[in-house]
Amino acid sequence: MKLYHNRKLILSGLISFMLVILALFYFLTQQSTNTSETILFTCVILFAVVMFLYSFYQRKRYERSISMLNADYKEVYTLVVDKITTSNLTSLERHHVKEDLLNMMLDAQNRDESVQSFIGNVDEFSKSIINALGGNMSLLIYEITGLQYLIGFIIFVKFADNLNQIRSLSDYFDATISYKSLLLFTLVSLITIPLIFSIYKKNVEGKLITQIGIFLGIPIFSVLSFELIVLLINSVEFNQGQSVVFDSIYGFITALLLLFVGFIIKRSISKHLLQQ
Amino acid sequence: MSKNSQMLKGILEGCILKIISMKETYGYELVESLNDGGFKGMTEGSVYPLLLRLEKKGFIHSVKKPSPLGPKRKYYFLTPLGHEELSDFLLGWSHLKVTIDYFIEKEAL
Repeated sequence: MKLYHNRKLILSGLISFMLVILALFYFLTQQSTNTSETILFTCVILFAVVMFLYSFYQRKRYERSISMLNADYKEVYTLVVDKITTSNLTSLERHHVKEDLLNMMLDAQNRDESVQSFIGNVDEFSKSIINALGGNMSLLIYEITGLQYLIGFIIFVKFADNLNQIRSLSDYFDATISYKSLLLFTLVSLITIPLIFSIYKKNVEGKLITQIGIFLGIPIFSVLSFELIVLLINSVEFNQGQSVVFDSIYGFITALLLLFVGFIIKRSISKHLLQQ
Repeated sequence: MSKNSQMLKGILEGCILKIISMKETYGYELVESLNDGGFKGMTEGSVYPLLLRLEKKGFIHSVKKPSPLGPKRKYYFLTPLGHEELSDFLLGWSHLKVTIDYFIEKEAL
């Protein structure tokens, strides 16, 4: 259960670690000293470190607050948090509800109010919160949620690219993405991501195969849209040269398989830890 | 949800908007006002989802302020949209009250 509740911290640490490794690879492989690029990657490293430290600080502050709840309140709080965590609320909504609930419970505890008189039926309370907030998300929330996913995917692409350079692997993992391509890819994904996420959120309680299909649909649909746009741009001779995300189709399929495996592992761990 | 629950929910939301329109308030204080007004048995657990719904609709807004007892409290206040909604509710309620009173007081059709 501790691993499950620390997953955001672990994920933040992992992304920060990968960003730092990415920046280090860049410094190791670059021959020229370009001041602006050096500054950019120094900022990337600093950002990664700050992101991780901030997540760590927030986590510790949260754990300190929870430790102030007595046994009855803590038990009910954990039950409600588990229910809303597995619901279709956005991570932002879940965060706000958890924070509100914790503060209200601490306040009620200070007034010597029993947890039963504070919350009543836990199931009904959780359902009413989910019903009050559930439903259509704003476009902005979709974009923020999807961009987090996209950043992870792009980091993986660049990570594979740098790994290929360092270890001189065959072109199996050939993953080349120029910064111009990255920008266009991001702009395309700002449209494709919310479209797919809106379908994903509506099917979050649906069949596993549907969820997997939608989950993998984000990179597939985004890359295909990106490639189509590049072809269209090249066909009207505005842009010279080639811009692709993956030179090798096998590398792309491998990345998708890894995402698929990661999704299954994440889902299995979440279910297993919640059942404990 | 039964029809009575639906009706009560609508009335409760209107009353909550009215209470908040009178002064900025937080969850427990709101529950006390509702209990004093006759809605016995209200708890923060039953009011909080209603407040979430009202905030999502844009009728109320919240700010966190320090509290003397320790954790920060969420104070709610009415938005301009909330004032419009409250006016609509009060108008609708006054019409409904007149209609219901008419049938209650009528001795024969």
